[in-house]
Formats: sequence, structure tokens, C-alpha cells
Amino acid sequence: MNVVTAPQATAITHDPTPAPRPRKRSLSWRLRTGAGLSYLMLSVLALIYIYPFLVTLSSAFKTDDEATDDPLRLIPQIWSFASFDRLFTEVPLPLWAMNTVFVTITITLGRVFFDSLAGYALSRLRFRGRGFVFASLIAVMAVPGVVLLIPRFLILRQFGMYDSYAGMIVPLLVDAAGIFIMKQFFESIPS
Amino acid sequence: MSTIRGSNNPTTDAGTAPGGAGAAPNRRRGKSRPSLHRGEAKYGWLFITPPILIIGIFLVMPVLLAIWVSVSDWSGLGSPLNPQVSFVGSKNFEAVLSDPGLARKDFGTSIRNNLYYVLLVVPLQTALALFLAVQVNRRVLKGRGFFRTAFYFPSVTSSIAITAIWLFLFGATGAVNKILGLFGASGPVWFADPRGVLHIILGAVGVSSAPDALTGGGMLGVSWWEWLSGPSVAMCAIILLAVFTTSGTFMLLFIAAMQAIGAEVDEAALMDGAGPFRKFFSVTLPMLKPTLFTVLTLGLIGTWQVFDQIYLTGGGKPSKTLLTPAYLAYQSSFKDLNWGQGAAISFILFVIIILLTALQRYVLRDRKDKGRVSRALAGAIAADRSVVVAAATVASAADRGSSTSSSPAPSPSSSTGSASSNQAGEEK
Repeated sequence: MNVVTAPQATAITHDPTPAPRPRKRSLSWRLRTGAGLSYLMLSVLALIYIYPFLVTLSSAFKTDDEATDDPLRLIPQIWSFASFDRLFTEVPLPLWAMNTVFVTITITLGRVFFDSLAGYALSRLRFRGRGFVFASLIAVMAVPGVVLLIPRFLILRQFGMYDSYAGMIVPLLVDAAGIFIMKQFFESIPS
Repeated sequence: MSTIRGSNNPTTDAGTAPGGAGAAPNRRRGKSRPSLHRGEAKYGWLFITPPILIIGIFLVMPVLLAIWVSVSDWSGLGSPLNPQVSFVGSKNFEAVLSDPGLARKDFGTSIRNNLYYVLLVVPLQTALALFLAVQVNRRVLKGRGFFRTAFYFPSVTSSIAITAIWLFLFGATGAVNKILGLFGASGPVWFADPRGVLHIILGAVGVSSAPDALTGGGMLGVSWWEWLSGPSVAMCAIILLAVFTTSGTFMLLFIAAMQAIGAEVDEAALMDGAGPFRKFFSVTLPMLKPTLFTVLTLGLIGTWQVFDQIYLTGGGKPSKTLLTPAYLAYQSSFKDLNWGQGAAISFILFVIIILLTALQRYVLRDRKDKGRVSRALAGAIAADRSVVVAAATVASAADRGSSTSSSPAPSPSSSTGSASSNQAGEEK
């Protein structure tokens, strides 16, 4: 992240001769200063984008006091693993993590399987009602996720499926947008 | 699937039949077609039955059930379909929209909060994403991969994790206030500050209390003075969070579109003597128009749905200035057990999102395909969802040095109205 500052010093000396040479120099000076400034700006922006994550990472290894007193410091003064101890003793983090892994893998497998089957059928197999099914699929995609928050709970409750793996997995096993993408993909392959 | 051979498209079959086919009698062709495609209907329905079942049960049925709940007096006990639950007409909607009371005031407040959120987040994230894309897409830039990754990084983290980080950064003694302290400024207690930004600015110029004209009237139980409060300080932190997390995603969309424009156009503009600003406004921006529309639509849809961040920052605190319709629907149902009202708010939110998207699509539609707005809208929403994926594929393919034309991005379908033209614009 070295910032080019040297050219600025040379640039201040104005060359009085109106020959093509100074014009060339001033052009290259402008280009280099411009490049230097844009690197500086991009670096600052990149730092803003990454720093929150670095701070969080280092705070994980700080003591509680240091994390609140000195949140900006990247290398902890005292390395502490107390927060990690707490994760494994006070809360069942491994269980939570395994839940996530299980749900993620099942849903991903289900989506790849069902979405590609349906996408293939909608793009390559001809049958009565195909157009209608596809149109309904697009209509369904227009329903925003937040709107489904309550209705979906109502249905899961109706089926007694809430607070279970099935309740978390089955409704997400198929994804209308995924079917759409698979259909588009199959159509892009020459048959 | 051995029955499927050659092109299965009837029009190309007829139009571009090989030389020998013309000699074949019509009678034979008519007969052979059903046998060629025999079983397709069976397998077609077999393949799409699981999605139809799951989407039907967990998406269509919930919506229907919620429609019923929104016009019923169901209290959350037992099934909403049991005979004791009765039809109450538009009572729930009236409670939220017209009857004076807390429900209406809360709803009005949530709409105000979300309106300021949308008004600030959508332009800011679009402008920042475009700016970052232009910067990162320059061919001479060293470390392009690093910068891209840096800017895209917040987009791939979960909203829950990033909100937790934000609470930590914007705490009273958090990193942000520490940095402000370095410049001699004392930052606010971000997430506990309900003061509206516009009210603060007005207060600074001497207008600290509402003029009479603005206290009397109002809308949805919120006085005009309160409507003009601006986003609260707490909301500003959430707005920054949204801009921070989404600018990377949209940057990727813009990069994909810019790489599709190609170097030739840039060089031509350079040869014609266009400076960087002129080139951007006269060449790049017009060519990015379809992507710009997509980003605006996606932003508009997404910002009206803000929920996770509100849930994590304490459910609308401070003083309900973080309350949003999405969160209010959840709160009415799960906390206040007023399921009818919660469902009603959900539907109002749905209508708002659909109307705004339709309006925007209509205003910014391609001139050549006028009319058929609804169809274009449906296609647009579908394309919006998939275009993110397409853009990511294009961007990564282009990064590997291959030309964009060989990227495996989904090709536009002719059956989706104007969406296909949008997508085509982004990919060509």
C-alpha cells in the first residue's frame, strides 16, 4: 500500500521552456499523481471495508475490558481465550454448528436435485400445462420473503412441524428462483 | 431419456429441417412426433411435482391461510380454521390504517422510518457500488483482485453476524466513536439515540419545536412534524450498515456489465478525446442503464423488507425509531398475539413492494416494449433474482481472463418479456 508521493515534489518545479518535453513530463506527472491518489483512496476504502472484520477477530482474543476500552487495537495486549471457553462450556455451540451444517447440506442437496429436475422439465420436456407452471413459478417469486414470515409459521404450526428439523428443511428444499436459473441454464445449452 | 433426439423445438423442426426431411410425407411427420416425444409429459410432470408440492404447501397455502387470518379474529389459540374463529371483514386493516389508536400510530411510524431508510439507502448504495465498480474495473489497476474481494467481503457475511459487529462498532465506546474522538468530535450513543436527523439540523438553525401548521394534521396517526423528523441517529447507523453490506453485491453487478461493454468502446472514447468524467457520463453510464435499473429495483424491493437488523438491535428501540413494517408485522403476531393485524400489515407491505416495483418498472421501461406491464414486471422480478448469479458468473469468468462471451451465464429467455432484454443488455 505504498502511496506515490515522490512525483509531487518534482512537479512543483515549473519548466519555462515551451518545448514538447515539459508537456510530456506534466502529462506523466498528472497520470502518476492521479494513479497515486486513486490508490490512496482505494486503500482507505478497502481498509474501511475490512477493518470491522479485523477488529471483531482481534476482539475475540481480547479480555472484555480491553475490548470495550480499546476497540480499535488489532493485536490484543493480553491474549485471552476466555470467550472461546465460554462458547464451548456455557452454550452448546458445537450443537448449533452441527445443526447449521446439517440443515445447509440437506437443503443444498435438495435444491440441486429438485431445481435441476424441474428446470430440465420446464426447458426440455414438452407437456401440457408447462407454460402455466412456469408462469405460476414467476408469480410465486414475486412474493417477498418477509411477507411469508408469519404465514409460513402458521402452516408449520398447522402441521405440527415447528421446532423440528423438518420444519426448517422441507419448506426450503425447493427454490423457485433456483428452478428459474436452472431452466435458463438448460436453455443456453444447444440441444 | 433416449426418446429425445435433436431439436425439441417445434418451430425449428419445421423451419430448418434438413434436406431429406422435406421429402418425407406430412402424414409420417405428424405421426412420428408423438412417438418421439412420448413419455415427455409423464416425466415432465414427474420432475416438476416435488417443487409444485413443496411450493404449493409452504408458499401458496401459507399465503392463502394468511389472507384468511388477516380478515379473522384468530387469537393464536388452536387452528385458525376452527369454527370458533369468525370473519371480521376489514377490521384488522382498519385498525392499522384508519382507526385512531396505537396500532395505527405504530404502523405510521414504521412506514416513516422505512421510507427514510429507502430514500437514503437506495441512492447511496447504488452510487457507491457504481463508484467502486468504476474504480476497480480499471485495467491498469494493480491488485484488482484484492480490492474487489475487500469490497465484496461484507456482502458474503450473514446479516446476523454483520449486525452484531455493527452493534459492537457503534457502541457508546465502540470503534466508530473512538475514531470520531481522534478528530475531537464526541459521537452519539448511536443505537440509543432516537433524535431525528432533520430535527437536529432544524434545531441547529433555531427551529426546535414544531410550527403549529405541522402539529395539527398528520397521516396514519403521526403528525407532519414527526413525519419530517428524518431518520433517527440509530437509523443512520442501520443505513450505513445496509450501504456497507449491499454496495459490494451491486458493485459485482456493475463490474459484470462493464466487462460486457468491452475494451473497444473505452478505447474509442479515449481516441475521441473524452476525459475520464466525460467518458463515464457519456459512454459508460448510458451503457449501464439496464444494470442501473436492475440495481435500483433490487434495492427498492430489498430495503422495504429490512427485518434482521431491526430484530437484532432491540426491536425498534429507541422510541420506535427503528420500527419497520416487516418487524411490526412480526411483533404484532408473535409478541402481541394479534395475528390478524400482523397478517394485515404483511399484506400492506406486499402491496407496497409490488406497487413500487411496478411503478418503477413502468417509469423506466424500455421504450420498445410498451404495454404488457404485468408480464414485464413478473419477468423483471424473476430476472432480478437470477441476474445476481449471472453477474457473479460473468465477473468471475472475466477475471480468469476468458472473454465474457464464453461465460456460462444463463442466456435470456424469450418468454420473460422485457426481463430478457434487460438481461441481454447486461450480458452483451
